[in-house]
Amino acid sequence: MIGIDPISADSLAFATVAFGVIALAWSRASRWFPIGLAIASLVVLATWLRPLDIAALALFVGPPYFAIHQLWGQKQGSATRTAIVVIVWEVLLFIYLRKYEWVGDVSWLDHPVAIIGLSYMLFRVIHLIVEAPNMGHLPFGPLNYLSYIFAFWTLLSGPIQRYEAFVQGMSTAGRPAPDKALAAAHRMVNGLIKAFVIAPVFLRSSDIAALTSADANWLDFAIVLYSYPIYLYLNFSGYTDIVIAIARLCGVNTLPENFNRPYLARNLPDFWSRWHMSFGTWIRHYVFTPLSKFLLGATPPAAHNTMLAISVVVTFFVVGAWHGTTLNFLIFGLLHAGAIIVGAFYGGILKSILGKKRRKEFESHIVVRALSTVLCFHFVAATVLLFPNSVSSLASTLTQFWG
Amino acid sequence: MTARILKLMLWAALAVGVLELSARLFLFPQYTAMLPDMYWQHPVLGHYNKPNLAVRRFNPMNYDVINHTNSLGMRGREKDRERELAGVWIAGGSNTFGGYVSDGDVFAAGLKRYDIWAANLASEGHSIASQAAMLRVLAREGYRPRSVVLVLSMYFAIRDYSNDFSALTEPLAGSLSGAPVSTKTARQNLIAAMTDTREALPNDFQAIRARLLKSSALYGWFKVGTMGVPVLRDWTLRAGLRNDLDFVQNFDLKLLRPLTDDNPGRGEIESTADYVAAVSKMVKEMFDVPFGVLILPAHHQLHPESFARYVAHHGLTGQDLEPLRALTALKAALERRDIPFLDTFPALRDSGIARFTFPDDGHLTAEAHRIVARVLANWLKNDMRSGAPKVPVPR
Repeated sequence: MIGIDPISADSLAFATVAFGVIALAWSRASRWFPIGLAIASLVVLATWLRPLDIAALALFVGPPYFAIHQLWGQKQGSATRTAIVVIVWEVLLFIYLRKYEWVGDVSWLDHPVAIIGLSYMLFRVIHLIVEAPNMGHLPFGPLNYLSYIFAFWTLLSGPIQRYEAFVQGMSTAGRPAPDKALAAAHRMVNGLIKAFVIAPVFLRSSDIAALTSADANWLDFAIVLYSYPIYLYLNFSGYTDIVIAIARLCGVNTLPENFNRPYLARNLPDFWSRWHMSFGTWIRHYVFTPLSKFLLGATPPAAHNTMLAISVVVTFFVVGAWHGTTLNFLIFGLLHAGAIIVGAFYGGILKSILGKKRRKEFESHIVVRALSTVLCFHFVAATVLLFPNSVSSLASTLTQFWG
Repeated sequence: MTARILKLMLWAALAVGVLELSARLFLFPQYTAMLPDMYWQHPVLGHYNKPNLAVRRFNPMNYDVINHTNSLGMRGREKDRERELAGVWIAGGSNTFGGYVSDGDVFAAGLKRYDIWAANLASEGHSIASQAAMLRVLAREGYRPRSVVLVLSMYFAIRDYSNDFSALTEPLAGSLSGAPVSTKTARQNLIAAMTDTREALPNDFQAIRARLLKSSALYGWFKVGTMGVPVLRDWTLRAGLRNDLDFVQNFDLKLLRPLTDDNPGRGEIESTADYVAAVSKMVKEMFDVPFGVLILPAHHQLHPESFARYVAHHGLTGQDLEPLRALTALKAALERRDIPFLDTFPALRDSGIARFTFPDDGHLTAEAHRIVARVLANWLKNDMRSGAPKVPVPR
């Protein structure tokens, strides 16, 4: 909107909101913290939205609230049917609002609505719908719902918190012990330096257009290849450090960790358990596990490998689509699915040649581990280049560079 | 004690933050737009207007307008883009962009009132060289004008252009529509990014002020909002807390002195005319359409009393300074090179309006833009294409 800057994590306004909720948590009025968090979150969200966006958002979060309210602690009756109907509504509305490029050039997707953090909201809403029957022992109401869905610290880039952890966090809000506060402040400063000082350096050097320069050589190729994954990690993990630190300074210790040295992963399943961990957990819990269980249960054992492969492809289709609306992100997801299937196939061959025990010994060998890590990192580095670049510009630039 | 002071400082910081946030969201959000973020690194030109802008430019007692740009970053609405690009192309700097008047009041847009469609290629801070590159970019993208008008605003337009001729011939760096192209390697980008990071923090008072003006509604209100209060406005001017527009330099002083053989200003006038002639030749080769120059006078030329104050304030009395001297010499130089031009000074002077520039800013007002649009429309219709009188009589 003209005149109002959206409150992003690198703005003074975000710092003010953060310090405001921290001050509330530290004050004698800390019992009002959940209300303060809800107000702060709505203020941050409001700066990103225009009237039409707000109307669309109401359609996105309104119906699920009533469904969740109805399903809360109700394990019998029409719970499953209600949950399915609302999830389908949410997913269809999500696809409509996100304007997926690969859906096709259709006029009904040509709308001006844009809602920040919609992907994260979708995951939280689906989590609530699915788990509502099992969470009857937890409090649920409009205030908790709004704070959980719109929490300003996880609105823009996660992490994706489970509702029970959110409720537990709200109950412990207050002034942390001095050593914990100091550790959180330290983490916040580290996060700020990572996300807003070091990361931008690598963003600039990741520009593939640099490979079209007449003076470009292999060193430039290496800089471009490594810069974007370094930027992505520093920016994303730095942001996560900042929001986890803000929550901890409010006495909320239940925001999940999102990164565990992901570029040291030895294979892609390992990578996805270290990178954006809260997302990986959610996808595994709500997409891969139920889908593979269903497919394995519905097919004979001979088809199980194929069913697992299908589950991987579908899961990474969702991973790709969740990350972005263009075809690039789908290709990214499918490349990862393909590589995981190839990896599993390779593991099977190793097992049949070496046996289970010797395969484990072989894979534990320091050289094999190092090579696996290097290979995995390079695969990730190459595929994340699809995030900022179109397939055609990547192809033409690389052809020009190698040609 | 230290802990108490620290706590007090933290609460004070929080109070300022809350006040700032309230100011941005509810009280006076318009004051965060004092230096709006309007520019980006264009794939070919570098510094240029961001595409699809809708930015409020606000300064009480001066202007309160919204600037729109189309998807190519040109001043105006997207719906008119193709029609404008098929018409007259007007290249220039800030006065042509018209950032402080509304879209329809900019003289390029005002030509529509006379059934002339024109594309405004200008950008604030652009020189003739940058605009020449813009012409080449559009030509490469396949656009063709009916005619091209190059606007010379007399604010520092006259200078030595001998190092700028390469802008007319050197390969254009990138493409607006195709794959990205760069003249810089990744090594250079990495080093430049590291240097920028080092320089990202404001390192002098001016940089801090600029940063605050760009981002703080509270500071913006204190700095600019006070101008809306006449008493405060006069007091800040008297106290020297802000610049008096009349005392701001409009030209290099040598251009106001007699243009004798030993005055380097003479060479600069010739260099400017040479450069314009080179642009004219480039337009002829690229499009084979009429080319002309529009001259916009500066604040001190339009307001002799302001120039008298400037001279007195800076102790320049008795130095035979004449604000129109360079303008006259430039016109003669253009005439010698057979470049058609329209000098808008007589039309503005004879228009009868009292003020052509804003009280606190030397850019042309909407009223002045309207006069320029009228005389330009007349010139385009009757004189420029036929090549008849090069200095038309204002109507």
